[in-house]
Amino acid sequence: MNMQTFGRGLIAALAFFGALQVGQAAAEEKLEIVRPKDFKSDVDLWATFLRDAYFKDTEIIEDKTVIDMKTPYRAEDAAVTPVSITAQFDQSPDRYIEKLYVIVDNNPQPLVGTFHFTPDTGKADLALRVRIDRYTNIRAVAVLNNGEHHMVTNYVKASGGCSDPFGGDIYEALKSAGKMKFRTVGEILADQTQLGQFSISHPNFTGMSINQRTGNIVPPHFVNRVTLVYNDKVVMKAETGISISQDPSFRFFFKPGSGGTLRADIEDSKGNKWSEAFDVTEAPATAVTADKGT
Amino acid sequence: MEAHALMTARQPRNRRGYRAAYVLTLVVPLAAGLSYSLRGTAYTPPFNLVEVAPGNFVHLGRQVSFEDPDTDDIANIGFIVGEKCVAVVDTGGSVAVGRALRDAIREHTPAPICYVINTHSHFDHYFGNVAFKDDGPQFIGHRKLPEALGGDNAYVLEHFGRYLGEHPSNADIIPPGRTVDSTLELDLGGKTLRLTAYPTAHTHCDLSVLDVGTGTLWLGDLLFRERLPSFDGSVLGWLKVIGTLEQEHGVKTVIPGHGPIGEDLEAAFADEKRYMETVVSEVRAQIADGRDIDQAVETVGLSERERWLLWDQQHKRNVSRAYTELEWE
Repeated sequence: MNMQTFGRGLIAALAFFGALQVGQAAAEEKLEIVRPKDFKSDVDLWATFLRDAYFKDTEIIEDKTVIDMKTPYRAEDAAVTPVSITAQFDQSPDRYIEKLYVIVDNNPQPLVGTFHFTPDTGKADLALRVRIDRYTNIRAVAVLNNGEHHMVTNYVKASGGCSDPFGGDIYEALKSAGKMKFRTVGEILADQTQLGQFSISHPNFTGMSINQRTGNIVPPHFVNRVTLVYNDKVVMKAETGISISQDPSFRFFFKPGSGGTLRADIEDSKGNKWSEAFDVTEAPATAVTADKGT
Repeated sequence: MEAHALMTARQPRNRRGYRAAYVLTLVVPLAAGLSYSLRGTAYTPPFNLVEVAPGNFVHLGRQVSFEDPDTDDIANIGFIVGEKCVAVVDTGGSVAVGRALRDAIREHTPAPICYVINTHSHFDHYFGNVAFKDDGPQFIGHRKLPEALGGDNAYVLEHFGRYLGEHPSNADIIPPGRTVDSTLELDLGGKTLRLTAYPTAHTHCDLSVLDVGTGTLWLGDLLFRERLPSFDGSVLGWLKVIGTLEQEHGVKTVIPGHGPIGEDLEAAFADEKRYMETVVSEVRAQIADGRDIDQAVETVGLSERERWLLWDQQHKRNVSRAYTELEWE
């Protein structure tokens, strides 16, 4: 027996103790940030680098009065980890969330994206799917119209989401790039906020996976701009990066009123642009129900 | 997690007894960690082997998780002996398992090892290839297998490279030198093998091997029994392939990639097919109802839970994969 193999055995055992502690915490419905024993880096990237890099001297209030966030404790598929952010109040001209940052500390590109909202949004909820490269904290920072920054942080266990071999045929995936879908979720009621889901077919190559046919790195190629406009009012504008999953998908609220058109404008890192308009009618094709929020 | 891996199939789990579960969670990792330390990174004997049909020898893998310390011996692997040649079907998840398989072959026949066939691109089925390199066989696989193994394997080397020795590199991963487009027949001397390549199913490169004379069908991971199937290619594609395979006549022995040997093809596929059809129909319903992935993974397929091993390690991932496939239908 050498020290290395002993160490691995020990780490395996410790990792399960770690899982046990958090399992109990989860049972109490508390979110606790626990750094596991087999964490690969000793550096707290947020404290030493990211906080300053993204927010400089801005005060960041860590609380849940503005937003809350739901993430799986363990990402079952690290390439597609669902993250949903819930605003604690409706948007109003007096008080609204104008911007959300989503950050995955230990990803090669920690900033997943910035998402801009307006008072017209109804509610600044956002659900998206992200890649997670290794055990990490995920943060959402909400910027209010008065300039206050409020942050929530969750811990997620996962690995391999960024360098994981691309799960499909690269050339096939590029053929359908730019195809879009939009749907409303639940019954549309006039004067209510309405949940919508917008998806784009795009491989969102990270620049870290390998083209198995040629053995070369697949260059980064990803959606970097999403603008959604409903009846000439901006619903959501986003700048996004490689930490967004393949086939980016976003859920958000808007106010459909008595119907209209949602226009989507997409741009990717190679300068490709796509636009599409979707009709939103008061009576949905099929009466469907959804759980609360996103 | 660990505890579940040690349970036998069909044994109902204690769903509410958290205390009992915690005790197991405490004890088992310690035991696993300790045995791993003592055993090091190499597979250790005894090496089980069964002649399931004349000339068809199977080594049954253990039903443990990829997260276990010893995951190099989880796949069913084996060999087929003809009068002139031996064909190996999958080589296991480490050089050590590959060597143990090679030793077992040498106990049964002095015939040369002419072919090493890999059923697909997952390490538990091909890491042992390197143990056969000196025999100079033809390495054979699906036409898409070279794409999967021929490039940079950084991901699998980082996570499982320890099974390839102290300094694992791409050179230890041996892609096929000969590939199968649709079918290929091999003559072992008095024994004919028919290899069939499939469209995307479990992976993008699944291949089966039929010993025509005895009706023995080696399915690789197109068939999981007892151990929960893992979705990597396309669940809809996989169901189609099962539909095709069920039309096969004259199969008397069915060898899954994981789990016990079967006799009747349709019966052997029944559990896997039901699980996949259940996931597909329930995910479709979730999508139609406007539920997102995070809700789908919590609710889909729960009626299947008690029927499978390693549910906690794989099921939610399967649902997530099925969801991202089916939402673009």
